[in-house]
Amino acid sequence: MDYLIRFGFSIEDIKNMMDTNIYINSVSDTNVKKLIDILEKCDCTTVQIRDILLCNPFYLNQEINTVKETIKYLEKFGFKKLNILFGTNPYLLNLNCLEISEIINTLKDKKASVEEIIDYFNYNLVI
Amino acid sequence: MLNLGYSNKEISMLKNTYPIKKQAESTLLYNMKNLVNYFTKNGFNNSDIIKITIAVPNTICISIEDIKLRIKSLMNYGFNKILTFELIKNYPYILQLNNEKIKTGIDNLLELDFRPKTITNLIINYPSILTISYSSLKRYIKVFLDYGYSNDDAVYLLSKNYNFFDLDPKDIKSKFTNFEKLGFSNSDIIEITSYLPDLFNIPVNDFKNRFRSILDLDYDFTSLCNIIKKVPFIVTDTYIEKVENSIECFKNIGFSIDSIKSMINNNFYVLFYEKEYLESKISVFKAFSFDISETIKIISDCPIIFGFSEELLKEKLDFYLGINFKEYLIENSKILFFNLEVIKDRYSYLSSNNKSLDYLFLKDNEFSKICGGDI
Repeated sequence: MDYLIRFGFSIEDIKNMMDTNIYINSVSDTNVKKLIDILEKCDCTTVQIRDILLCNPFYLNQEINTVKETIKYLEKFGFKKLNILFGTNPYLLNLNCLEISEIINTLKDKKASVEEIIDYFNYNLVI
Repeated sequence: MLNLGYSNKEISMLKNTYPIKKQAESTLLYNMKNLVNYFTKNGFNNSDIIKITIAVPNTICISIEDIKLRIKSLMNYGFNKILTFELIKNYPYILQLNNEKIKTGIDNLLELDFRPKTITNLIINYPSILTISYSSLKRYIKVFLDYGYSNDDAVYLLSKNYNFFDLDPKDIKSKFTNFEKLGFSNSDIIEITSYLPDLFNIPVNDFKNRFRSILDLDYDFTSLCNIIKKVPFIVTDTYIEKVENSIECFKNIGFSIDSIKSMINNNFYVLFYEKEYLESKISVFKAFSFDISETIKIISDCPIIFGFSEELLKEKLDFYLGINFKEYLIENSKILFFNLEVIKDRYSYLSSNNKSLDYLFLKDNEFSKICGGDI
């Protein structure tokens, strides 16, 4: 958890995160750093990253490659401001491409356009 | 032997054991002396040695060179010295297995794609794995392959949940059927157990009982199964307790059964928060002069609020109360979901251009049409 402290999380923050996600202990600092780097590459600010992790501490247990694939998938679909998307919808980071494509396909079946699908993700909590 | 701490009864029992009876007394004494010297040097105390020889009397018949060879064989497969001796203490029977048997046991596992590190853990936790024949191991794997697991998942599951080796492969099939009867599909079972092999250790008839706190809310089991698929760890004892505690806490705060169900439907992660954490979020609303019924209404409609950091929640409440949106917020708490920076920019634009604040929460493209830009 050293990296989280260096990143600016307080002991209280980390305690709350560990209370919610008891599996954080099993994550190495290297992986924590890689997962935070991914968010930084999506233009998330330090404050946004803190808010994302506090809300969704389970993000720290995600597979790095799965998260990268998910982001690639979202970008390819047309999502632009991923920092805002993940800030409002932090649990989205726990879903893999297949799960997201299932949601998208359900919306497509209801004749939603790409723009409407993007709006759906921007204005609704997706879990 | 009496000096070492053996009782007369134990000595008599050992003397009457078949392999010992066959050996010359001088050989036995010689082996025993070497055995005691060797294990004492490696951190065993007298009672450890007595335990080993009582559990596996044949140990006294094996020469110390042979024992060293067997230990070396284990170490060749990735066991360090500490683990090896721990293994012997916990499972003295391993000394019964000669070098060839240990090698065959480990080679079988490697041949069936068990990973070296997994094998080490497996042998430590379930040493008799080394005595299971190649064809039997294959039969266990086949049960999972037939059900639809990949070979990797089947091997992972067996190495994590070694209790399966105590079952007949046919009984494993009935575990699948029992979980299907609960409402899980074949692919659900594969998905959940590939992540959480321990699921199979939960007795099916106790399964619904574990989730009594949720089901007592009249929450339907199919929706619960969907949550389990997304967060399989919810079935573990720790999380079951968290779920019970959080539901109890919601009730104590004053949330109605319907609002708890609605929160779980919208954001099941609320079930994993601690009592103090949940209460601290409620107290933020109190500090902003919301009464408890207003607070409950706001959170029930937008349960992600529980996930907000205290700073973020304060910042959002401060902003909306600052622009006199308290009443609007109570009726439309979803506005707390929106990104505050975006809303602040929009507010600034609308107010400086004398435009209606009704446009504040429009979707991006609709707002762009109003302001003619990309705010």
